Amino acid sequence: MPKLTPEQKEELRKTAAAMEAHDKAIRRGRIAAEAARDERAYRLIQEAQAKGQTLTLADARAKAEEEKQQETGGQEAAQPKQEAASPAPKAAKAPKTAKA
Amino acid sequence: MNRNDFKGGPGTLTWNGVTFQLVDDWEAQSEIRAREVRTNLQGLVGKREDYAITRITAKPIAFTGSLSSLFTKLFPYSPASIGNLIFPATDLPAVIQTKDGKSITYSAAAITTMPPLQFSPMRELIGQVVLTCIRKAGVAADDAAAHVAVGSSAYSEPTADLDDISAALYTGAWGSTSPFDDIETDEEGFTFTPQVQLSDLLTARDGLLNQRVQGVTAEVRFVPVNIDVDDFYDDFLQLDGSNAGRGKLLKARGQELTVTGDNAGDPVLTIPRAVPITGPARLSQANSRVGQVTLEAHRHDLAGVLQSLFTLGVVPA
Repeated sequence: MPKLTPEQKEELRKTAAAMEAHDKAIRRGRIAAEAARDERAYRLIQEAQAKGQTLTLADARAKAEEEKQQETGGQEAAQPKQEAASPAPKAAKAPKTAKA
Repeated sequence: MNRNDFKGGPGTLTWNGVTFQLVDDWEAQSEIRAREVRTNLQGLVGKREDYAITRITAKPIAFTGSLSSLFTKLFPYSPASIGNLIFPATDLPAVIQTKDGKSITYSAAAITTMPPLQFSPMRELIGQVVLTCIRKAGVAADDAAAHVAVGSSAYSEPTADLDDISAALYTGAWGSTSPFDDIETDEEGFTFTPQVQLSDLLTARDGLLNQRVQGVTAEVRFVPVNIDVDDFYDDFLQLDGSNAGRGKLLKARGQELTVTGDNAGDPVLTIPRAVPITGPARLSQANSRVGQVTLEAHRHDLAGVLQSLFTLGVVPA
């Protein structure tokens, strides 16, 4: 096996450090997402309990995920609507110009 | 019995919106409180149910990334809470998710023992917390899910960042005068023990319905290895001198105690007035001159405003 030059060693070290930082960021992101999901799931368990029902943790987590996806989907759906809505006034203005 | 019928295994605890991963084995100890029924002729002839409680005892893992949130949830009581009811109007259920696929929901839980904290890199930061569980609000005991409900619930492994488990190096300072401004301890570090005193609130119809905060106290223990006997007696315990004497407030002997982790995100404990109350001078072949000292947190006032008994936070980034 060829011996690595100091520059190559340094390059390898940098790559390993970058990969570790990337892994850590993914892990942190996943932990934050789980914490947010569990907070939401806990609220759902409380709401169910207030109605005299019992929600298991797995069901509450699944519902929390659903709620989040609906919200995210809703926001994504709302975004193109706004974009689509913005050209409309321009189109409405067009006849005015034509009249003039 | 089928050899696969052994039941058991670990789990996680979710309470007040936070899921705790635990250090080691933990349990939920249930108890039927009862009163004896006696007759003159026969003596004890039976017992009558008073109420049921469950105590969950567990040691949460201290992940540095969520320390602020953990401190807020695990240390809800301060002297400002005196008179408050600990079970809120909207119940806070304690939900255990077992690894073998069960969800155990205790309807209403509140912290009745705040955990001790051990500030040492070689010890777990958070000690045992106790959650007391009682019956669901507004529901009679004969309701099937009044106290606890168990259901099947698929387990999913929570993400754990092992690098993130708190194991900080700490600097302890009591006041700003040497040698107390940089106290070195034995490897047990600083042990902080807060305590809440609660009174049971019972009714004839429902039994235990709530608990009220009566008092909050806190103390810190450690073995200082770099304090000599003259400083120990003259400036620390102050068995005599200007701050000593019958009737004097002990807070005059106190100083601000801070235990601060080395890095951003590490824990910080601040006791505005930490008063030494016990401690031995040792004549030992192996041990330090001063043994384990105990400092009580006393109230301190600034311009007539009482300061916190203690605060817990993290080192800012």
